[in-house]
Amino acid sequence: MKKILIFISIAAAIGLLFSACSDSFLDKKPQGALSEDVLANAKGVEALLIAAYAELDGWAGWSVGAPWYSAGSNWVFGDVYADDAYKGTDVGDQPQINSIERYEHDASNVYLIGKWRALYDGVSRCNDVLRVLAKAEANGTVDPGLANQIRAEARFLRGYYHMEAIKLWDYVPFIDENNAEALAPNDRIPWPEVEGDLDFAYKTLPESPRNGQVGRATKWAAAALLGKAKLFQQDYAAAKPYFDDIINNGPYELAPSFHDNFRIAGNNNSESIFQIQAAVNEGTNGENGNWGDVLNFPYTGGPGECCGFYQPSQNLVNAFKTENGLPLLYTFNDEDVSNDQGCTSGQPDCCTEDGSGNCIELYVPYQGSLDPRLDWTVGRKGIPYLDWGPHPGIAWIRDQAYAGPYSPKKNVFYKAEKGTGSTASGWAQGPNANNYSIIRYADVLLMAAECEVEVGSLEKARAYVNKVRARAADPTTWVMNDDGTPAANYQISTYDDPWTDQNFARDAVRFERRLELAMEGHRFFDLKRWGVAEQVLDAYLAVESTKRTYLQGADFKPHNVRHPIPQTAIDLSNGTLVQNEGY
Amino acid sequence: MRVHLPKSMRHLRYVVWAALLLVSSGSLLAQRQVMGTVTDEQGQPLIGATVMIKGSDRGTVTDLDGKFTIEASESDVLVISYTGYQTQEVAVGVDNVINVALAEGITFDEVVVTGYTSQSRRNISGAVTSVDAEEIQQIPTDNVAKVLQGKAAGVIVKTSGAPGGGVSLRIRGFSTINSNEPLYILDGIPTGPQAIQDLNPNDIESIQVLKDASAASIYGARASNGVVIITTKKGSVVGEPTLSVDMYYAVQQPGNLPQMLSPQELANVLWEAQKNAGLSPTHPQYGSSPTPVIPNYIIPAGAETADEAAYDYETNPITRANKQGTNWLDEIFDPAPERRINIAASGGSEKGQYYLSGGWYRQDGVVIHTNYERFSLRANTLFRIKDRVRIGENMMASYSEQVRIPGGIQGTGNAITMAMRMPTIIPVYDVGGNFAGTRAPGMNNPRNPVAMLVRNKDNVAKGLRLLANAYGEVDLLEGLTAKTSFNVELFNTVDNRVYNIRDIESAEPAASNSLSQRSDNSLTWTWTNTLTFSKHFGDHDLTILAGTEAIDNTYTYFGASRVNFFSDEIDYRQLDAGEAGINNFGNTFSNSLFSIFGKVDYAFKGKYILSATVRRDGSSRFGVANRYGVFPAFSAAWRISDEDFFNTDGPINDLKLRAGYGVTGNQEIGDYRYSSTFGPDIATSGYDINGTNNSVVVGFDSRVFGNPDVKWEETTGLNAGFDAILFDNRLGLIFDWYKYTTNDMLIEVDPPTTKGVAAPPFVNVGTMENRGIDLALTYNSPDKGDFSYDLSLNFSTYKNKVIKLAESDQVFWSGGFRTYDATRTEEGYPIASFFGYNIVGIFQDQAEVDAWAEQPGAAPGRFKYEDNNGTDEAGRLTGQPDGKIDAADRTYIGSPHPDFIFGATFNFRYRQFDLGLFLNGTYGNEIFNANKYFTDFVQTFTNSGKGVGLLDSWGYPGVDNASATHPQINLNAPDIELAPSTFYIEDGSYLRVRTFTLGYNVPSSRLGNAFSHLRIYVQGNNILTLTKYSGFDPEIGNGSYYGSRADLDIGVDRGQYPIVKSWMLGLNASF
Repeated sequence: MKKILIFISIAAAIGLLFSACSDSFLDKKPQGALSEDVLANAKGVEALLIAAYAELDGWAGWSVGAPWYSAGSNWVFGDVYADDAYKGTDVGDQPQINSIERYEHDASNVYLIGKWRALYDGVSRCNDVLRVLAKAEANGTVDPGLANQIRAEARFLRGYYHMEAIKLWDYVPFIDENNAEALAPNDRIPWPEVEGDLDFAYKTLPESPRNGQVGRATKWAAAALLGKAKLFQQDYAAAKPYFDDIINNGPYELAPSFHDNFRIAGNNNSESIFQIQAAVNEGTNGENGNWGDVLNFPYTGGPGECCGFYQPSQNLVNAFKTENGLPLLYTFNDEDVSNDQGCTSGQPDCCTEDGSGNCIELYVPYQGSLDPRLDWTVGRKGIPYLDWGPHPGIAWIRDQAYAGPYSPKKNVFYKAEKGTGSTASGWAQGPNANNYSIIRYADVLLMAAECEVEVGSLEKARAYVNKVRARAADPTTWVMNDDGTPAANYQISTYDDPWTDQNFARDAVRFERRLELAMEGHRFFDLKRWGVAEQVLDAYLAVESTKRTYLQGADFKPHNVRHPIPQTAIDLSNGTLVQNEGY
Repeated sequence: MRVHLPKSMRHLRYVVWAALLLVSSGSLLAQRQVMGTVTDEQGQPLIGATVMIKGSDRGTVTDLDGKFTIEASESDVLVISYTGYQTQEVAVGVDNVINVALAEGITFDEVVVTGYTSQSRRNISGAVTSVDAEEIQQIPTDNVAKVLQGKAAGVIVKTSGAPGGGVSLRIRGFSTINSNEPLYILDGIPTGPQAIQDLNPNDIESIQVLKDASAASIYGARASNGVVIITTKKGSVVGEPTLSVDMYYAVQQPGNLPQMLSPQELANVLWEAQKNAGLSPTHPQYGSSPTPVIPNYIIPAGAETADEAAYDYETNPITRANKQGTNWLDEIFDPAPERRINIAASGGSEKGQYYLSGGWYRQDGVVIHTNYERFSLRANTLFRIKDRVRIGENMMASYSEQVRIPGGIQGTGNAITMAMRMPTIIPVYDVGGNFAGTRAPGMNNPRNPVAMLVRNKDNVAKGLRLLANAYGEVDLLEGLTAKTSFNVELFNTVDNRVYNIRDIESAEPAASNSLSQRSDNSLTWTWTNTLTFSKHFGDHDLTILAGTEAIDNTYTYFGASRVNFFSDEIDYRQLDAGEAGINNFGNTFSNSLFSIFGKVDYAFKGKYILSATVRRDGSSRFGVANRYGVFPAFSAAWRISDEDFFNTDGPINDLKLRAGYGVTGNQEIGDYRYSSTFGPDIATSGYDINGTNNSVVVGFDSRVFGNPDVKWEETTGLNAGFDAILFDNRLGLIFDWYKYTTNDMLIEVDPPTTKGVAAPPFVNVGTMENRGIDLALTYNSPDKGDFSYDLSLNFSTYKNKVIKLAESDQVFWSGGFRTYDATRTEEGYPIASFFGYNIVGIFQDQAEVDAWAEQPGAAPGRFKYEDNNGTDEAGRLTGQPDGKIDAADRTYIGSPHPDFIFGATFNFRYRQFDLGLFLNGTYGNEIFNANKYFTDFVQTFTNSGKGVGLLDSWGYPGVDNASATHPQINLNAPDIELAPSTFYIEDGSYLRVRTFTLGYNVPSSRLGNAFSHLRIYVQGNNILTLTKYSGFDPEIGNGSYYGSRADLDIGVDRGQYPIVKSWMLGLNASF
């Protein structure tokens, strides 16, 4: 018994000795990480705001989804989902886009949840700014004037992210900084809240970007988005003043060349209203370049060397045909711009064999008249592809039988910029510093033209359209062969006859918009807000499915104007979110 | 589980000795010297037999001649025991010489280390499985965890054939969706699976697996996945120092290599695919004729002739077509050697013991240019100072070098998958002798696997691990012992760099050559203090243990990378030489644990056995409010065969009933998850706000959504079983039934998707249940002549079920391949069940299509899917068929969990020869063969290499449509066919001859003086496998071995580095 007592007392002594110091022993604080309180000051809030901008490219990390799911350029949801582009590459790569392209996708599609997560991560970053900003204001560590500017930028971005969600799904929740659970019903389209944010930004933001930092939102960017928001609600009269304000009072003018908008040297040019800033060789493997478009480069041997996605459609190419310098609004798709489809027997040229193993060149690019913007928009065989030499045709195409002969061109870098303007590291060589324009001045002019058509000022609309066409018509801005001759038979002119028929004017404006903004991720959303998606796309499918057999049987149904709410979003909303009709 | 066998487990005597000494004390009275010899029934001396004074803790062991000397008094009774022999009791009386002959037979007298203490198996009331040194020696391996496969009931081992590639060891199923990694205790010190990888199997004396909660709960908060206790060798206390040498040389060979299409077959398939899609077939290489033509050259594409003199590696890499076809799998798989040498010196006296060993192990992988090499050193010593004080140390140093397979052991981008995806028309080399590849048009994008492996061969990951443990113990009073032990474990990646050479022969070449280098450092110290009181009085045996333990771990990593190296020369591969992409990263994690624990063992007449433990753990991983957890356990046993009414002369010679209950915990959620944090990340929170094109300002965003209320996950376990010896001590039987319930399971609960992106908070919400049985059976032959044999068999089952997850309809997807997930974990189902469409056939004609539910792309020749579910207006599942095949129709289509697993060992001995056969297998599990995504569909990575399965496609020339296994080859096949479905599911059951051994013990008469023991053996490993699985091998390891969610991913084959077969020649000698 005595021994047991000794045992117990020694054991108790040891126990006490250690438990006394164990609390501090067990205190392990996160390393290399910040708490919200540490950030509640001007510097901290500014850093949170940078992160809110950083989500514009749609990239929140691999754990969230691949960058191409959620690209800020909307290449899948804006263009592949419409009549401008095919998924491209081959059938088995990223097969989830196949069902999107065929309008058969369901709520489990990874592209949907990828895009959704990226947008709402953007929202949450804005809300982090606003919430911590309030703390900083409360503790007096931020100047009130600065606080208001920061607030306006954060609300601009929050409005933008929500508006992007509306473009895809219509019925989405609006999450603000006071919503700790980040849950809200999606029983209506939250235009009032989006407009509230954008309006605050419009009224608060400066005319030129704060600190001279070109990436920041301005009053004009807010105006453009507000006008666009009104257009999505078909409220042309309400939209018009915002566009007028930009045109009359803003500092913008069209860049000298159409192509300036799609090259690194043209980043943040006089036409740029709000761009996603891209940077490469900044310490990552291209993740801050146009990362969401990393798959969208010609295949093998050309720029990017990967992965052959986002191939322009034949329908889009046909749209660039001209007659007397003007587009064929109603008959453009009756005949194809000829191409090198099926041209397989030799590289790099399409040849016939002369009987002794030599190649006789057969291929001649289309000789008909074309809008010169085609060859800054679409890569096609035989036409100079920036400074990469003539597009070699099938050598840059992964599976021509599947997805046709064309390559995208607006997001590509020059050969001379390889390794400086494009990433020098990583698994893919395509990401580059080419900014994506969320809003550019030509876009504003054409939206203004839409308003003018609808309010009855057809001639004003014609003037806007002609302004855009006149720029494209400058021969010094065309794609040229090495010998200085135009690369194709470019014929473009302005609309010189007065517009008297509103329907014609509307069609002309809308057609111009397609030509000017093709392959920029806008097309489907335009069709949607014009209410013509089903009509246009079913007509497109009827013809295109004869060329792209995988489109056979595809059918755009009325409910396809909006996507299904991602199933994961519904599942994790504790019953708050409901599915869109038709899905 | 295994019961000990005659002539085996010789080394166990050291453990017995050490255990005795731990509890012995010196002050005795009225004693005299008693001497004697212990032999078997044939009169052969038994070395190392235990001789104890009954009812005391005093004893000794016999020497090399079987002799012992002990101080005893006239009234004492000696208890003489030896593993594999029946224990005898002899009254001392007046004789000074006591000779004893022990009869063979199964006993349960082995000493089992149960955590901080050890006990005879006779007195154990929990479920503990043991594997001894001899069995460990029988399995050639780098990692001792692999030895337990098929040897220990209730233990599931998943691994691959990759050299040094990692093992997942799971005890009795899966208790959580998080980490199911058991706790490893190496010589009393907690450590992790990586340290076990670095451990030389030759140094191991025994392994004990504490399976049930009552046994494991002495380790409290980390024990819910069971505890594996590994004890390394100590020196002998008797006889001369011995030097032993163990070595083997094995030649390994790959098993089944799948067959791929020849160039002509692939071209035919591509023609068929286009024709069936309504296209006129064309291909950059095979022309546009009605039948494809295999060209002479693939660069230039499709050419009949080429000017080979114009060859230029960068601009004109002329490549001939390999018309016969390159067997890419054969190119990357080659027989490869595996070697192990161990030299150990050991010895000692009653004043001290030592064991010193040096080991070398090298495995070259059957995949070329993959290998693992390890140098290890161990020094264990123990000094006895006077009678009361013992001081000792265990030290291990292990240095390893590893060249891994590029793309991962299981990865759809690894060299094995690439070997299946490469078109066979591409030769390994172009006409200039450089690597050829998919730069040739129309070949899709796989990378030349030979090039991958050759270029990777110098990427050697080097690591050094040191474990040093010093301990001291003092007998304070008779029966009362204090022990303190301090341990340091240090791991350092001496050099871990990956240099990537550009693959310009590929369709999608890397942008640049690059080097990344990384350094990982982990330092853990553990300080353990225990006080043990042990006393026999009358019929009562009592042991009380109390202790404290403090553990502190700090892990630091940092690394850097650069791109653009002027030269790929090996001497140039240094960070300083990189011209661009200068990058670096690093961080530190730390955690600590402080524990107080106690244990009471009580036995009355050895008949009624009770055990109780309690442990209070404090962990830094939880917030202040939930930092401490208490883990109690109780167990009891009843040796019914010792009761008077029990007739031990009948068929049952010994029977003990056991039952236990215990609570254990799991804290494997990583560090700091109680706290929400923000942080910078250049890639996702950096932005070029200044419009520079080449720089960003880095902002902060949410990194972790913390949960300040997070606390332990708790597993409550019930175990019941019996240990029996039957039929004249010939048959041993150990049976256990168990049921575990994990509550407050730690789950990363995804917040609403609208909350943004950060590591989700861990929340205690889930419940999981496991139940099953373990059975171990041993039989010893009665024959004592030239021929003897023994058999052992183990069998186990587990049934896993997720009872509850987070509050919403939470599911966890895993088993990813490309953009799909193969497994789903959900309430009501076992963890990681396969989920997808159920294919019920192939549509034979249009009428069948018309009669079926609406299905995307339905047509004759397409898969026909089961309509088993639908959705309502709100998108929720109705459970009713809706005439439409869509995502709602996906269902559970298979399980990676076997109905049972088993192992069987047969040992035969005839004179100097021994023959061993070890079989193991699983039954009833399925494998998700994700390789089929690449090999069995023409529309995935069209033009890439495909498998011969496509030749059995519906509508393919010569195929009987009614029995076709594959749908029509069609470029426009609907995407749904690629999605997870029963098409990927295969039977994963197997029975394999794990080892077949023939050994010869050179008779001592021929050994002369040089050797005391010499055995030569040949052994075949995995030489025969019976399975229906079509892939490389049915043993599918984890996608990742050390991740916290590793078990959501089981049973998916993504081009796993296959288990190999081998033949080896080995030698054991001692001097």
